[in-house]
Amino acid sequence: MQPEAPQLAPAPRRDFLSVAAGGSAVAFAAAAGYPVLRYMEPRTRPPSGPTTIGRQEEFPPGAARIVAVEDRPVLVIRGEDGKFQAFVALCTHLQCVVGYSKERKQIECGCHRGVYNLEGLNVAGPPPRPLEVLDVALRDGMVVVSEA
Amino acid sequence: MEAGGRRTGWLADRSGWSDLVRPLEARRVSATGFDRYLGGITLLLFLIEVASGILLLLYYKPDTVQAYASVGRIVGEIPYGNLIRNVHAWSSDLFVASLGGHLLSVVLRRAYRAPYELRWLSGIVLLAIGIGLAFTGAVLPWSQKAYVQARVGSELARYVPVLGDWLHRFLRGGDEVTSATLQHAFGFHVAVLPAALSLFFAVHVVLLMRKREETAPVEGASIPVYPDFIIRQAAAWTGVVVAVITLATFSDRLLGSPADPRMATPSDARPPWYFLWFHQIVASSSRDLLGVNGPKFLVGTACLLGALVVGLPFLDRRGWKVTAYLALVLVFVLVVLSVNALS
Amino acid sequence: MRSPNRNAIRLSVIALALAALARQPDAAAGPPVPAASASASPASSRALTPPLESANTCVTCHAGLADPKLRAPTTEYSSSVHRDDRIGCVGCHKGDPRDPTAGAHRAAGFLPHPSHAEIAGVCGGCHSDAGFMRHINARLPVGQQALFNLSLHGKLSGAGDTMAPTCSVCHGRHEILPAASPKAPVNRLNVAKLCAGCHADPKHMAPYQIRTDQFAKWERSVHGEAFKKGNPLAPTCTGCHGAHSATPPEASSVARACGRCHEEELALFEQSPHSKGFKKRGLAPCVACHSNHDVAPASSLHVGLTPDATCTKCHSNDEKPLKAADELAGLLRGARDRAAAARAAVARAGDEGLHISGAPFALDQVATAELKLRPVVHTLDPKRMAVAVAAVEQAAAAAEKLVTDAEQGRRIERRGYYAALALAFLLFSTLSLKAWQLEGRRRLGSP
Repeated sequence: MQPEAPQLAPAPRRDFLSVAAGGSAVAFAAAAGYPVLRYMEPRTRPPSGPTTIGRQEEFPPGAARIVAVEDRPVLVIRGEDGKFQAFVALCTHLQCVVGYSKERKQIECGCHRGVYNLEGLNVAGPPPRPLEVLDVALRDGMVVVSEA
Repeated sequence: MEAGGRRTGWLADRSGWSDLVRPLEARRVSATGFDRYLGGITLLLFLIEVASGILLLLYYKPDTVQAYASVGRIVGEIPYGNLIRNVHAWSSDLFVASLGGHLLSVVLRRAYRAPYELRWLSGIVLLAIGIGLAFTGAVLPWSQKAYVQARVGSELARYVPVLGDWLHRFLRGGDEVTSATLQHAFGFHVAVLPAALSLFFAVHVVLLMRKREETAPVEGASIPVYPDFIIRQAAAWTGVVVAVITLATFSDRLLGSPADPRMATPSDARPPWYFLWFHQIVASSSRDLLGVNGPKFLVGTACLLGALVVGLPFLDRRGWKVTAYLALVLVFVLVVLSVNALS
Repeated sequence: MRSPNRNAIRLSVIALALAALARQPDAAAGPPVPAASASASPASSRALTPPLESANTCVTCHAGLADPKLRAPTTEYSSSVHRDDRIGCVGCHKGDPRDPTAGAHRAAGFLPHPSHAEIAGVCGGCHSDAGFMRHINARLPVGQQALFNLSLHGKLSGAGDTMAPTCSVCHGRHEILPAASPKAPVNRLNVAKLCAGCHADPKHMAPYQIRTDQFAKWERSVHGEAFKKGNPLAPTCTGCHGAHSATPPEASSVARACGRCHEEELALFEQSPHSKGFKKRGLAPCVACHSNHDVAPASSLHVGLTPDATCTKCHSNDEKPLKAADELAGLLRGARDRAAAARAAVARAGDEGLHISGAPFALDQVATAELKLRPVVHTLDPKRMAVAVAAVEQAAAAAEKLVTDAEQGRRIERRGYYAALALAFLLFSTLSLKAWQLEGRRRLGSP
């Protein structure tokens, strides 16, 4: 308990030169810090173009596979009718990798029980948004995915 | 708590700064000579090396396949990467220069005499660690120059008396200059040697704080360490920072071509500037000197010279004037040899 | 159970070899050999070790003969591809090798001097026999004699023309080397000179009324230059004319020879109005503009209306083609200028010491797009050329953007440097003033 505050010096007289020196030192440090921050900033990568992920026969109808496209997992589902669908297989909740459930015919996230339907729409659990949909095209028997 | 009339600041009161610097206020140092600031300048350059080195670590890959390309990426792709690499390279040269200047200053002022032997010895250790940092750092870009330097440097180490073979294999991380050499150099450059340098620097500074010195007489005009000396030191630091950023902005430290063990070494291959004198002696000496293999003789002589330097405070207890003259002659010879090596 | 068998075979082989070795001394001592046998190098005598079943006794005598004509084949043969125990001298010359005397020459079918017309048959005796050749070198083709017989060389020499080449003229006789050997006259490196040996000789060619300047022209052509630089794809004579089946090319077939390598150019040419027009007038495709043996680099040919342009050599005042030529020339010039500007920008950046890691790749892209311009010229279609030019412009713009970005970065960096310099100067001045102030106060004796 301290009743008084005379422990501190009474309103110190500001010494102009000290303040100027301190100020220019801080300003210089800031100027030097800018390139350092720019240097440390992670690189951005241009969006990837179309990526060939395999031959059509490698995707039997009614099955799903997760393939890596430019460091991101992509869930490729081929319906019984032979139609392809592709989603970025990252749950919109907290980025767990989602999987296709053959029994329940839906896309599920094991982390927090998020559920998406086969259109990628978030239908149950915590996911706030639908999955990101990718375009799938067939070229000369090869399956090609690209950002929509 | 403060004596009346003492001017302190808001920050000084709250941070305990005032208490920290009080012993420094009582201590006085001589006010003459720019060389008194070289120790502090060396410290600043080391700190710049640590900071810029940490930044380079963000993108550098210590692998013979990727090292050169990763440095190339820092230089060509990462914003301000070239600047930061230039800062690191230039500060390292200035670090060695200022360390050498500090050493010479101590010799000329005969400040190695008792009771300062331990300071001298710790300073010599710091010099050795500094050379180790420069050698290992030069290897890391894995350019042709780095490769040749690693090979020649480690080969010369073979001729060090007694320790030679061990040192030779140690520097190479094996029998040949391989990826192990790079990995070894990397570990030493970023971890072992900086840690050792910090430790010995702490020892060096603690030895400066020797109590008895407070009462030791100071020659000529004197100033208190705090605030006068520190402020002048800060002004000198500012000048050094300006020198570093100017060199780094306007003079690129070129990377050269990638390492290729099959490439013949070009005839203009040179070691870093502080070893030019030795290069000149090696390049112009004959195969045998006094009946001993050339490099063996020269490295042996250099080691003997080194031993004399280490033992200086014990060999020259009184501080003969002749020691200072000998040191100046030696420096003159080294400079002449280095200049010859450049032509 | 198998290993004892194998050992037994091995042992018998060694025994036979020993027996053969043991026989050699008497063979050497047998015939009247003076100094010559001593001068025969050990290497060649090892090479001539007779087959295990029957000794090659030809050499034992011929190596010691005084007449160099009769002795030379024994040494020439020793470096030949035919230096093989299964061929020997008798492979071509027949005779009886088991008879170590002149009696060997009296055997049926002995052929001391095959005539010019006979030679192809002698070589073909083995080289057209797939069953035999398989045992010697299964990878060697066996159709050379058939091809040769179809060629003009073959037809003429078969008809008794000794000026026309047969196998031995190109390949050599006793000293034949494999075509893969760089010393062989038929090796890719030497074959042009081999052809020129006859085809550049006016005396030799006079009866056939063939020009003799092809080799000289080829040497200074883009093909010859590339060959001299060591480009392994550069064609020499055989690249276009074939080897054994060499026949004089004609206007109708020359495009096939060129198109073997210049595929895209040929395909585009065939879609162009030139294709039909050339056919109608009997002009040789490719050759009409590019010439044949002295093919000039494509860069030296101009599309356009100037007197030195290739187009104006045929078209003097045909309105439509000249308009297309003018358009093509304009497009090409624009693309070249654009690419050159991009290169200059990157070079300028290099001179300024700017490090642009993507620049080499960007310039490669420009060069690739530029390279694609030339084939498109063959279409004579300005619209298609415009597409190719757009690709060059795009690549050039990408390269230039890298440079302007880097220059912009450099400007910002320099501005930052001067700002930092100003701040450092401010700091230095205040610190110096402060030091001066402190010293002054102390002098005045104030605390």
